[in-house]
Amino acid sequence: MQSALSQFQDAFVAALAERTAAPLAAWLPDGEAEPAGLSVYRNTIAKGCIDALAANFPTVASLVGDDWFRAAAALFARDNPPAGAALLAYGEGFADWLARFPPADDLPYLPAMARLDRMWTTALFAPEAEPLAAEAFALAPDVLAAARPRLHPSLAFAWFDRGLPGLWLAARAPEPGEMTLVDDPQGVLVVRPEDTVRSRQLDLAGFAFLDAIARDGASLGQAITAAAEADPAADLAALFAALIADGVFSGLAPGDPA
Amino acid sequence: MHKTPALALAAVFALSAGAAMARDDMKPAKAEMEKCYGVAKAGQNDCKAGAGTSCAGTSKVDYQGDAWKKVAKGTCTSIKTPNGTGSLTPKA
Repeated sequence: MQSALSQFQDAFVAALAERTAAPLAAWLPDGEAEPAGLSVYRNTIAKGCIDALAANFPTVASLVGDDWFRAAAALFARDNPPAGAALLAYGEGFADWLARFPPADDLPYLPAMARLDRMWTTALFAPEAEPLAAEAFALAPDVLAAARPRLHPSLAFAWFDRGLPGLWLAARAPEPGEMTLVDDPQGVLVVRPEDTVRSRQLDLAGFAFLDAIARDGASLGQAITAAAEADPAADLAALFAALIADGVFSGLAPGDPA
Repeated sequence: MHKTPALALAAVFALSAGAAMARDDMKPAKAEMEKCYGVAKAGQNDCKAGAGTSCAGTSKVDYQGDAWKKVAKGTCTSIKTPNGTGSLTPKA
């Protein structure tokens, strides 16, 4: 049996979501069909959702401008109300929604910008872990090659068939300069080894290296071989050194020598 | 690593070279920071503001006792707030 209070609360939520006071009829004084006060509550919720989306998708907001963004965010929020009270990570489906949003048809890069913003937010809220220092990799070459690295829990990386990561990184710069979308495929890496989310472009060899580890649980030797096969011209030593410096590794398990 | 031994060997040595490079590149030690509880203004805490919250900017009141902010090492317990000094452990 539901308590009177929770019945009222459910009816109240329904009245806000359905944009009609009908569910609340039993509690309303006679003659008051649509209390004006309800729209204050609806507006507060909508503003909270829009503010959260603007905070979680700053690149999208900066590219389309405030008016366009807030109008789109209001429509998204109406169809996709938050699942919880905390809006820290609100907007999980925003990128997919933008891809189906007709007014964004002439901005084909926009869903990818939302997806990249989402990667950034996800990295921010990922569990903390100490990144491995460079000293941890001072091993004999065969031992190092056989070792299986554990990737940092905040690490996310992706490959795009156009230069979307470059556009995103340029748009996020503190003072964005010229922004261009090149046709060349590009990868991106996002990681939060300590308190600050870092992001940078990833080349094909770097992507192949991380993908081999994330997807196949590859050893360092297998991963670096995958990188060499993806791009025979890649500077593998620099690639590995850069990933160590990025803090993408949080553990190293000894493996069977090949 | 069975397909192309020469490639694999070169790749494996690149690992060692890369690891050495990373050690040489290690930036000068960054300023040491410590987590300081009870000094952050509302919404200006660094990651974690008590149980159930996860990250930055989530504390609800000024100087919340279980929210921390990173401050230069050694300075935490000398930071004065209207609720007393900062603490290296969560305050009630």
